[in-house]
Amino acid sequence: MNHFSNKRAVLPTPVLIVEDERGMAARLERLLMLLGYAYGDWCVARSLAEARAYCRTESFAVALIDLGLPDGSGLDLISDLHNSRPGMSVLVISSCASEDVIVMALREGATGYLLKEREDLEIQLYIQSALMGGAPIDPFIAKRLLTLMGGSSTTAVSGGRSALSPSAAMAVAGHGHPKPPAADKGILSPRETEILKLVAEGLTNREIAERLYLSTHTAACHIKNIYRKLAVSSRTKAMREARLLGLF
Amino acid sequence: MAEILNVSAARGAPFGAGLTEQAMRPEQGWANIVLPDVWNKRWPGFDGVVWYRIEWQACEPAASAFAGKSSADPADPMAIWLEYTNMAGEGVLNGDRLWRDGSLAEPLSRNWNRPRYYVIPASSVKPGVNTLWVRVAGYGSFGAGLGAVAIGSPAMIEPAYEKDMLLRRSLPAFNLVIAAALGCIFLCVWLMLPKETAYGWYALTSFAWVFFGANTLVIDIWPFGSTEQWNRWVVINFLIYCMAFRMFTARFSGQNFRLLDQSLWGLTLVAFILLALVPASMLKPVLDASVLGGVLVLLFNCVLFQFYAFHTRKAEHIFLAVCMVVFLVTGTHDLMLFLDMVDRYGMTTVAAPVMMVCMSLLLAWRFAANMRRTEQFHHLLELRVSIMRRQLMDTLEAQHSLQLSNARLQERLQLSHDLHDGVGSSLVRAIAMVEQKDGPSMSRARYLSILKSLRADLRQVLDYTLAENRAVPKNPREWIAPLRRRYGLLFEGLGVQCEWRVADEWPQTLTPAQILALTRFVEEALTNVIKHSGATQVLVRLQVHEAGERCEACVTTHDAPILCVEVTDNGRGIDTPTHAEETLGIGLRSMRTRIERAGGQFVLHSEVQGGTTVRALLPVRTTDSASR
Repeated sequence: MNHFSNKRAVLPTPVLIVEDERGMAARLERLLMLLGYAYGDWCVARSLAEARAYCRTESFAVALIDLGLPDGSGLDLISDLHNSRPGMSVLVISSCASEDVIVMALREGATGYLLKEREDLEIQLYIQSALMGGAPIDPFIAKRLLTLMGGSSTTAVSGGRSALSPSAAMAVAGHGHPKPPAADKGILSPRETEILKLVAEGLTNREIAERLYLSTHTAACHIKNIYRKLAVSSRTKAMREARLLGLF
Repeated sequence: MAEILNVSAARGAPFGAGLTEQAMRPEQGWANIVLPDVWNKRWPGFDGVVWYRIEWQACEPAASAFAGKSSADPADPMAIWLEYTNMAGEGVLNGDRLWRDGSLAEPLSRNWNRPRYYVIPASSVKPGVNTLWVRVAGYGSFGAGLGAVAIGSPAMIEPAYEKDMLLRRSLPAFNLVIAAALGCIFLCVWLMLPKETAYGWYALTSFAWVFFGANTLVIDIWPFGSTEQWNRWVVINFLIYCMAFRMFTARFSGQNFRLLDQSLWGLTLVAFILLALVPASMLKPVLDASVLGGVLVLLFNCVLFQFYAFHTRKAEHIFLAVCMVVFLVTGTHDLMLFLDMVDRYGMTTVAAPVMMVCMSLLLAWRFAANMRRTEQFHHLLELRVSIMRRQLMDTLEAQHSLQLSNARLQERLQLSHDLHDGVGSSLVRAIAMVEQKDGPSMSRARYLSILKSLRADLRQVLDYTLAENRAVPKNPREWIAPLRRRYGLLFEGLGVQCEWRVADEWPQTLTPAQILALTRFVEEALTNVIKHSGATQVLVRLQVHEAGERCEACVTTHDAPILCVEVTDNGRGIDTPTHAEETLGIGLRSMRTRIERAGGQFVLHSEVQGGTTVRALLPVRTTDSASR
């Protein structure tokens, strides 16, 4: 069932697929075609090295990245891509759904995160939503963002533990602060805080727009901003804290 | 230079006669005597004044071996040395008084141990016979008399006098001072460490020695009024000295001869009483007996200790035994002196300082040994403590690792439990379903739906196991948020209108099992809606119904308060209601089991082309019978 219009002209190209598993890569290609892409609009990299090689020669608009690659974790690539091309949509497609990894991917600059095992239709719609400018945030992420960035906290989040990198550990550990430091207050505007609360309840962008009498596009923009603020502030905060603790 | 021609003595007035009488020189009764003189031999029991007449004349010295200048010069002074006068006396040379002691009546000055030395100017020396009168007042029974006298040139006489002074007065004084000092020191030590009685007894020994030894130096017997009182006092001190030394020996070496010591103390007490109370006439024998007894105690103590040290063979004891041998020798010698068996100076006065130093050494040695033992003990204690600490740490570590492995075991049990509940039962059911199907084999779609349902179960178990925060969601809105996000996106993409009506609060605290069951339930219901119903509208509802409340949607009245979770759609429904269960995905059938196991009820309504409703009803305030 395709209830969306074929907006090939407006689809961001080219697309970078970083996936070492043959079957999954084929699946993604098929989905892209269903979305309206044509053969040739995307490149498939089977490893980090390959992906980096592609990135040197071409400037991608969208990336679908798997985390479990043969020569390393896709997280490094995400941060590189985000730093070099901030406007790029980076979607993480992974078989791991642990909260730590999701948070870390988002910290590094990913736009969204979805599980491989979801149905084709779900992945398709997710990618489409991301392409249309939405930044789908998991509700539990929204909860954490609320506690981290100075809104009211809906739940007391337990102190995080992550084995992967000090900055991530710091960032995740920052969740344990009951009161965010003064520097974080005011990072989110009241409107953004409101939106984040609705995201935490699981509302879709359209529902949020309806609720707040905004256009869907405006709501999506707000959410994107929130993401960016999260990535920047949490990264700088994490770096600062890590430096203070002598980790760097 | 001078030659003593004759010495004679005569009794004067006894004590009790008037002063003038005592001052008169007797006319008769002069007997020639030899100095030193103890008049008790001649006039036993005479207590009073005795006059001594010493006739001498200056004489030419023997021809000098040196030619030339003669050392004799009539203008040179002469010197007189008197060994002692027992007790007090007066000396007159040719009518000039040389000296007069402080008190010639009671209380008598004590000069029995006091040498005198007088330089006589040449003008006092008559040519021919000179007479030196010495009046001595004393008690016959106490050895009264005049000691040796020497007259000659100072060069000859003075050295003898000085030697005498040294041995009779200086050394004893030195002796007493040391004894007093040591007594003070050890008294202080004992006051700090009352348990170490040896130190206390030694202090007493020292002090008793001082009081006893003062007898050799004291001239004025204040505060006592008479010689015999003084004598009692001295002997009492002597006995104290002897007993204290005995006790010191016993305590120092750890001897425990109770009976012996007690009997000795008994005797001593008797002696004290006698000494204090016996009348003067019977004093002398008591004094002698006491002194003798005391000395015997001392000697006996020393001899006994030799055997004791031989028995124990401890270094300390042997050292003390050696000291005591010295003491034995000097003590015996002085005893013989006392008993007039020898005529010399007392050895104790000379030996005593050495003895004292040895004793101090001994006590200091013991003190140091104690200190060392304390340090060693301290060290041992530290060692012990560190061993204990290490043991404790090991125990704690063992306990800790035990707790850790216990916790890990618990987690593994929990995981296996979750897997069994979540995935295992669904798998078993799926297998049963596939096995039981007689007739045409299942369609590929069927198999797929089974597998996908199992995958969803596994996904839930994994998410739950790995979740940081496994607490139950605080309110239904929080609980439904992930589902809402996922399926909301899907429905929007599919053009399906979806409404979510969720209560604000849980009616009670739900268990994780119930929460997970409800989550899977809604998940499967919505999956079915997407896959099979072709609906355009979906309603997801969570509501709490009070007891007796009429529920419009449920079209029933619930007797007890109930939590109702419902998914309704307006799709094509299930075509064969009788086979509704069969047509339902394996997923919803598993959900029925899980809901029922969580203590709830599973309800299904469906009409052909009229939509489907699946509902889970959980009673409120139920003590969950499920495992979690």
